[in-house]
Amino acid sequence: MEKLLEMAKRVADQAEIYSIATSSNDLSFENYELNEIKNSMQSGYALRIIKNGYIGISYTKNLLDRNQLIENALTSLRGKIAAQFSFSKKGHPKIFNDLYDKSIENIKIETAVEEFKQISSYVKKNLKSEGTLNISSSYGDRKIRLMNSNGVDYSHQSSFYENYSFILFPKSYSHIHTLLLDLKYKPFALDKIQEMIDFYHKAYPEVKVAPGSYPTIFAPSALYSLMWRFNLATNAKSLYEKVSPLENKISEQIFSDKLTIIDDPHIPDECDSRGFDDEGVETSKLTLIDKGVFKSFYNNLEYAAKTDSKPTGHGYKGSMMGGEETVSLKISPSLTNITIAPGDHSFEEMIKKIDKGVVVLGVLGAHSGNLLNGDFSVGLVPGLYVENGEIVGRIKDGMIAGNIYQVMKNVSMVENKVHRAPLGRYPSICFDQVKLSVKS
Amino acid sequence: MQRELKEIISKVNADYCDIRYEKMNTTKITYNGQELTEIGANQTDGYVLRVLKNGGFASISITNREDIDRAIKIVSESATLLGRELKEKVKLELPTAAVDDVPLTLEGDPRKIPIDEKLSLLQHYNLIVLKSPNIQTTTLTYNEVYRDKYFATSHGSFIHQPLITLSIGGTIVAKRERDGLIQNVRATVGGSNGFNKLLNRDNVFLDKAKIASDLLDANPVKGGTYNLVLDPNMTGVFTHEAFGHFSEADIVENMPSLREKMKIGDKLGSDILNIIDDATAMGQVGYYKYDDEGVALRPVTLMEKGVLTGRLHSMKTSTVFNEPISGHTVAEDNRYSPIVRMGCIYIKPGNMTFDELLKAAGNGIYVIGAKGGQTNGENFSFAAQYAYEIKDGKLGAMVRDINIMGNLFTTLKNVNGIANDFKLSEAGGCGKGQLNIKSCHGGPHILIKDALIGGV
Repeated sequence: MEKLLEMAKRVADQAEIYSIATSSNDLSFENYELNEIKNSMQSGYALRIIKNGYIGISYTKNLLDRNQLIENALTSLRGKIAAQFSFSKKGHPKIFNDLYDKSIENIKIETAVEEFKQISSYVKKNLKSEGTLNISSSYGDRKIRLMNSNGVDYSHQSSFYENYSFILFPKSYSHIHTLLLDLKYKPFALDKIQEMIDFYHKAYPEVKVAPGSYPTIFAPSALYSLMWRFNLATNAKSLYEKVSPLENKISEQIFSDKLTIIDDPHIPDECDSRGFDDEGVETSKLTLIDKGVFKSFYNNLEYAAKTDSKPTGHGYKGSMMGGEETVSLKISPSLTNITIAPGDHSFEEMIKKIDKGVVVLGVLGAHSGNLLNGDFSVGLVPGLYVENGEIVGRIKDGMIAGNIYQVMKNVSMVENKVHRAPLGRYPSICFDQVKLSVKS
Repeated sequence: MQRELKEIISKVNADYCDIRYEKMNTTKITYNGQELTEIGANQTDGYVLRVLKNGGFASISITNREDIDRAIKIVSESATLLGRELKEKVKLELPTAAVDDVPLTLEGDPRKIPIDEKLSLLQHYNLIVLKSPNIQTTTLTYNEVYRDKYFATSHGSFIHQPLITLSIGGTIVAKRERDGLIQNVRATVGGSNGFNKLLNRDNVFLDKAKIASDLLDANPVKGGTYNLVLDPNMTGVFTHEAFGHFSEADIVENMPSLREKMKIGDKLGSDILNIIDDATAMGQVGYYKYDDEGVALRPVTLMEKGVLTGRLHSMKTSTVFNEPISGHTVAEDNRYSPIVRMGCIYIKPGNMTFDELLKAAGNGIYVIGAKGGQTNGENFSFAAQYAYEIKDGKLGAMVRDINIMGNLFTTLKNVNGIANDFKLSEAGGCGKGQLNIKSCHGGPHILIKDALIGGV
């Protein structure tokens, strides 16, 4: 990388190199049996240069041909995309030395397989309803290094061990799950598995429910469908393009005062915690919503400059849908550590306080619809029905719909615990009235 | 390359192994509104090695050639472990070994066209959209993916297959100034048969810009159960999501309750429903000759008169189901081992006219232009970009916010009318594990009775 940086500096006014190396071992268990093992060792390099006020970018997966990588960046300059910012200056980002656990290198696949066998035999013995146990287990590590012509040379390394166990309802991927995520191997607690089984039993019966508006609890596993819309609206790119519904709404009460939403990249022992973003800006805690009041957009260097704002340290090579090669992605504003603050009800209390209502555990079609407007209209997979403070089963062929700027204004309860979930860490949240449609 | 891959294979002590080396050249240019925000051409490459040993079948993907010995050791250990642990040992249905250098047939080779020309074309379409009334912004991208695949097996296959997928497309956003209402639609042109497909397509972008603007005055649909007429694009997504994924054998393989309900010979759809997967025809976006297991692709009739007649397979699932291999095991890029995927799935045209479909619908909604879909076993969802009310068999006002949910086992039986027209999508798209840009779909206009719309 040092050699590449020297070469790039010779042809440009400023240069920056991002590198990533990952290794992962993915095991899948389906229908109580070991099914697949996939291993992966990947690397990648992305180069950005600024020359005569224009920015050029390129990427590759190995450094066999540095000249071609530089040539590609120089060709990119022909687009004459104005660089309205400079690469980061050398600073003192928080260093996370404890996010990489060396023991990850010595995990034997047999360990994960043995653990699965234990979980499998426990579920088989205790599951009283028809269902299928699947487990996705994955472990590995990620190394990131960022260098630039301003003297920045930051490194970050983290490890992960993940076990996502889930029981599928018949004929469906709709399921009840439990998740373990750590920096190193950790045995799965069987009481968590028992909780999953108990929940599955409650959710198992299929029930017919009348359409209408109901108090609706979004479990952490389903909240991403609402937060996806929120993330888009608070992105400085949407502000710059004048398509954010939150334009000119800083300091306005937009959600219930029970909701506080922050992005905290410094949570201890979280494998996604970071001291610097993918363009070397130091990260820090950012409050987006404080007791329902909208406080801030988030940005990267490009959109900080374009919106005349201070960089918030959210420049990442990420995308909402995922799937693309990391190094191929243009750095854009991205929330990576979003957290909704816990409230004061246990999940069980929340259920008990509902006369007739819905619990959304999973959704179909979160990516569809008018996301920028905050609209959602999603299938329930599953959505549970609550009657007289008890879960009585899962709703057959139901959809819920609304707009986050109406629904999130009316919050009755927030769970007192935060759970790891897609796109963040959330408690369960009960919204007063959400429309439910069911097939007539 | 043949010698290099053979040399790697010779180092593997296994019952079977294959290796794929894939180079990808990607050209991407993006406009966000008036601004060009990204432009570049880049190269990546990597190896994917798969090993069958004593009934265990494992894979590894690597970037760097110098890691190959370590990779062979890791993947061999994984295969050995699987072989020891699996109750049902993996058997592979191997195709006849093939040695082939597949030609690339293009009408306009994008590799010979300068990046400046590609930029000009994108800029032209972007400006057409931005000049249209009420358009606030765009995200339009020129995307050119040239895959150069080299594949070798321990049983003697060596296949070189280049493929190029091209598109210009993205999102068009309209805004109503008085209240800030935002509406958006997608517009895409593209294919796998060359640059010419992207030329002279002004109308696509003009029409979609107008739709985005018109949506600002459309009413949201009310949630409830409706008779739906689907345009060919929606028919394609419906077929892909509601049925296609469950014709992929690796999905149903380990789902006993679904497998039980999806046996060959089972009646799942209405009598008029015929579904095929055929990506062998050149000119559609899903085209390829060999899959990433070296199996020659063949058309598969999946449903005939509502009866399940076929399935899409890998070499592994073919033996599990005792059904023939079909050439549908594809990896999106050099990071992945292949999985079973649809190539080009469609409903065969019927004999009704579009007007007859509207009449048969009576009162309902005509939904147009797919905006994403998802499946979850027996349930699926898909969204439309815009729609029109159908009243007494005639088209009425435009409506918006169409999100549809259905059940595999009831909705296929509710396909009550199929038109005599036909169109395939110009862009692929499927998120099953790996984001696939080639999986093509389409069909005629169809009528579905009693479908659930969520409203907003």
